[in-house]
Amino acid sequence: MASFPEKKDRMKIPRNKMPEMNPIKRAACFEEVSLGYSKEDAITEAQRCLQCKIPTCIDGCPVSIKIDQFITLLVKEDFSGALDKIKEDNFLPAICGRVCPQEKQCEQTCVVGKRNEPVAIGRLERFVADYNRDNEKPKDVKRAAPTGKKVAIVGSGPAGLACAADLASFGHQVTVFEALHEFGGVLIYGIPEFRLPKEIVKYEIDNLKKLGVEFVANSIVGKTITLSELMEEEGFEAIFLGLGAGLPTFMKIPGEEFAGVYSANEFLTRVNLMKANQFPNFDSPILDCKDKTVVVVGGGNTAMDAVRVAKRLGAKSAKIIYRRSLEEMPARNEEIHHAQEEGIEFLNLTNPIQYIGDDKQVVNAIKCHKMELGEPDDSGRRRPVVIEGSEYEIDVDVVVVAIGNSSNPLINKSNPEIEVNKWGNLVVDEETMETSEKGVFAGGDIVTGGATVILAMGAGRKAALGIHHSLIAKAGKKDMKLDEILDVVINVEVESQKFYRMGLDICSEGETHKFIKHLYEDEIKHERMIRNLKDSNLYDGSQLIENVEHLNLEDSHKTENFEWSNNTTIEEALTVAIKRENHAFQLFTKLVELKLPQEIKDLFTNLAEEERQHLAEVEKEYGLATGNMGDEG
Amino acid sequence: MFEIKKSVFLSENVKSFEIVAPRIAKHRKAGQFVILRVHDKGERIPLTIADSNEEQGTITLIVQGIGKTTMELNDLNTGDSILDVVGPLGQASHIENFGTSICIGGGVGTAIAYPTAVALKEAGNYVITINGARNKDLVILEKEMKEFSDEAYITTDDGSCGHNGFVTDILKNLIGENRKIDFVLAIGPIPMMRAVAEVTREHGISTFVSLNPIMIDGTGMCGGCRVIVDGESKFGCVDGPEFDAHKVDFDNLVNRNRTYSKLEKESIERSASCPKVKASNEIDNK
Repeated sequence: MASFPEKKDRMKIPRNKMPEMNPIKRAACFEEVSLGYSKEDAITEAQRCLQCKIPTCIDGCPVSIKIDQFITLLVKEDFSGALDKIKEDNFLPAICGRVCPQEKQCEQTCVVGKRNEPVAIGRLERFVADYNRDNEKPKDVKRAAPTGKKVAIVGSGPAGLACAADLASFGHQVTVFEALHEFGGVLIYGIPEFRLPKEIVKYEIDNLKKLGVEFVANSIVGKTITLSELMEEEGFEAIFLGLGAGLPTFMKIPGEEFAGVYSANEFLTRVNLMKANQFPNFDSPILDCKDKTVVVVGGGNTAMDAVRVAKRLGAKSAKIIYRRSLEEMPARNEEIHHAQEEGIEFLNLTNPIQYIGDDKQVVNAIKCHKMELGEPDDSGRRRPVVIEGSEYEIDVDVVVVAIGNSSNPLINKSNPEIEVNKWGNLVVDEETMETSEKGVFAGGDIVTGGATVILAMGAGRKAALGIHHSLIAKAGKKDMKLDEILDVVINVEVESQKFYRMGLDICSEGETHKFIKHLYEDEIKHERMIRNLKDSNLYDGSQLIENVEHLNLEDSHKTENFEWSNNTTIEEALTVAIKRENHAFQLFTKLVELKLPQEIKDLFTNLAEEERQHLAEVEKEYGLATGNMGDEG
Repeated sequence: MFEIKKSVFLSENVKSFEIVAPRIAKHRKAGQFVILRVHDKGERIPLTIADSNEEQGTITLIVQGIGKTTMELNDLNTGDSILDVVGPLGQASHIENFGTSICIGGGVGTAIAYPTAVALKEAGNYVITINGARNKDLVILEKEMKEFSDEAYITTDDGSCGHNGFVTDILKNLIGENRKIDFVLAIGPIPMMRAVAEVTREHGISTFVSLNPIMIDGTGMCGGCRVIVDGESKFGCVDGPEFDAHKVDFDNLVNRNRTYSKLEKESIERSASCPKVKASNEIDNK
C-alpha cells in the first residue's frame, strides 16, 4: 500500500500527464480523447497532495468535495472508500471529473499550484469513478424505508438526475419526465462522445433505475402533462423543475436565417443525439462538412465541442471566431488545448457582423470586424472594441452559432404563475429551492442561466433536501425531542388515570371497585416512574429521537370520549378499558423499537409489560362479566 | 411505444392513423402538432394532429408518404407501434368568431386545416372550405369537409373532380362576389400558401398559414425551425406553427427547407419503404 512521501519530496513529483489519443487519429473519430490515468499514475498524482491543514482546494469546489480526504483514501488504495467520500458531495464524479473547469475551481486554489502545477484533482476524481465502475461491483445504495411519497422530476439532465438520486435514497418514489426520447439532457444531446462517452451517462441512469427511479420519455411538462395534473390527479406531492437553459441565443445580425447557419444546439444534437455523423445508416442528416470550411462563433465549451465535431465530420478547415482574446476564452483550458492540437484555427478578436449568402440563401461568407481589447467590463474581462475600417470576409460553407443559451420559456408560458426574473429564469428560495408555487422546486440552468454541470448537480441535490424536508413537514415531525416523547406518554397515563378515577366515583364499592382502584393506582405509579426518570441526572431531554413520524405521537393521548354515568354497564366500561390498555400496550411496544437511551428503553419495556398485564386483566374481567369465558376453551 | 389502433389509406399515398396517446389526446387543441420517431435509427419529424379523441385516448395523424420517414410510417398498419410520439406542441390555432372564414387545404394540408375549420364553425363563423388536390384520387376528407361547411368547394389541377384549376381561382371568385370575408386560413404546399397570401394581401383580409420548417426537438431547443416573420426571427415550434401569412418570408422558408434535399433524396432511395425500391425488389423477387 502506498503512502504520502515527505512533504519536500512531494513537491518534486511532476504533475502526471493525461494519456490521450493521438491528435491525428482522434480528429477522425468520435472516441474519447482523454484516456484516463492508470492506477499508478493516479497514486503518484495523489501523492503530490500536501494535505494542507486548511485545504483551500475545497473552497474552489462549487459543491465542497472533501478533496483532501478522498485523496488520502486514494493514496491508501482504498478506491471504493475514495468514491464514497466524493459521492458524499458529488453524485456524478465520472462526469464532473471530465467536464468541470477545474483550472478555475479546485485546481486554481490548490496550494501546490502556487509554485508548481496544481494537483490534477479533476483527473483523480475521474480516475476514482472510472476505476470503481470498471473494477468494483456497484454498491447497494442505502435506501431509507419507502415513505410512499411521490415526487416528479422534470428534465433528466445533471440537476434532475442528482435530485432523483437523493430523493430515491430518502425513500421517496421518484419519476423522471423527459421531453426527448433519451435520458441525460445536455449530457446526451450537448456534450459529444469524444469528451463524455454516453456509456457513462447510461451507467448512472441504469443505477438510478436500480434504485427504483422511473423514467418516462416523450413528456413535456406543461404540454403533455401539466403541473396541476401531476399534483392533483397523479398524486405527486412535490415537483422538481430541472429544465435547463435550452433556448439558443443568436446575434440578430443579417443573414442568420440563411441555410447553413446552425445553432450549436442543433449542430450538436444532430450528431450527439440523432447520430447524423452516421447518415445514411441513421436517418437524420447534417450538412456535409467533408473538405468544407466550418466556422463556429463563440469561445465557450459548446463552441469547442462544435468546432471539434466539425473537424471529425471531415472539415478541411474548422475555425473558431471569438471576439476577445484567447486569455478571456471561457472554455476549459484542456478543450482549447485539445482543439489546437487537432488543428482548429482560432480567429480571436474577431466579431461577425453579417452572413452573406448565394441566390438560394445558402451561406457562403461571413463579414467580420477585427476587435481590440478596451477597458474591463462588468464581468471583469476587457471589453472588445471594434477597430474601425477593419471589415473583411471569410469564406464559409457551414456556420455554427455558439454564443450561449437562455432559459426555455415553455414553462413560463404554461405556468405564468411561477415567478421569473428579468432573464426569464425561475426564482427560488435559496435555502429550499422552492419556487413561488408551493411544492414546485427548481434548480440548475433554469434558475441560474447557462452554467456548469457541477452547479446544476449541486442545485439538484440541494432541492432534493428541500423537497424531503417539505414532505416530512407535511407528514408530521420526523424527529422529536426525548422530552416531547415523554410528555406524550405521561399524557397517556394521566388520561387513563382520569378514566379510572371517574369509574371509582360511580362504582364506590365491591370487587369492581377494587379492580378499578388497582388499575388506577398502577397508572399513577407509571406516571411517577416516568417523572422520576426525567428528574435523574443522566437524563437529557433535548436529545433528538429519529424516525418517530409513523407513531403519530401527537395524537396518542386521544382516545374516544367516554362519560361514566349511573347507567353505565360494566361491559361498556370494560370495552373502553380494553381499548385504552391495548393502546398503551401498543404504544410502549413501538416506543421500545426506537433508538433510545438504554434507561428509557428499559423503562418502556417495563411499562409495555405492565400494560400487557392490564390488558389481560380487563379482558378476563370482560369475559367474566359477559359470561363468555368458555369461548376461549 | 405508441400503438396504432386503426390505419386506413385515404388516397394512394395518404394514410390516416389513430394512435394511442392518451396524454396528448387530452391536451391537444386544433393547430397543434406532434414530433415522432418511427424506429431507433429514425429522424424526428413534426406532423400536425388532424383530430383527437380524449375518451378513447387517441390522436389522428394523416400522413403523405413523401420522405423516408413518412413512407416508412405509411408501411405501418393497425396493431403496429411507433417508437416515440411527443406533444402536443406549438400554439393552438387562434379561434374566434371572425364572421365569414375561408379554410383552404391543399393536398394533405386539408387534414391539418380540417380541425381548425371545424373549430371556427363551432365558434360561430360562416365557414367556406376549399379543398384542393392534383387529381380526384388525391382528394381527401371530401365528405367530412362537406358535412360541416356552409359552402364546400373542391378543385383539382386536372379537373377530374370539382373546379378545374387552383384553390386561388375559387378564392378570387369569392372575393370578386363582393362578399365580406373576414379571415382566411391556408394550409398546404408552400407555393399554394404563398399564392393565397398574395391574393388576400391586396384586399387586406387577415390570413394565416401553418408552416412546416425543419425541426428536431420541437421545444425551442435546437432553433432549426427559425422562420422570418415581420422581419424577425421566430421559432416555428414554439411561436408557431401558424403565422400571419402577409408577414412570412416565404423565400427564406423555401430555401431553409431545401437544406437537406440532396441528402433526403439519397435517404429515400435507400429505403425499403420507397415505392421505386419496392417495385424493383418485386421484379428481383420474380
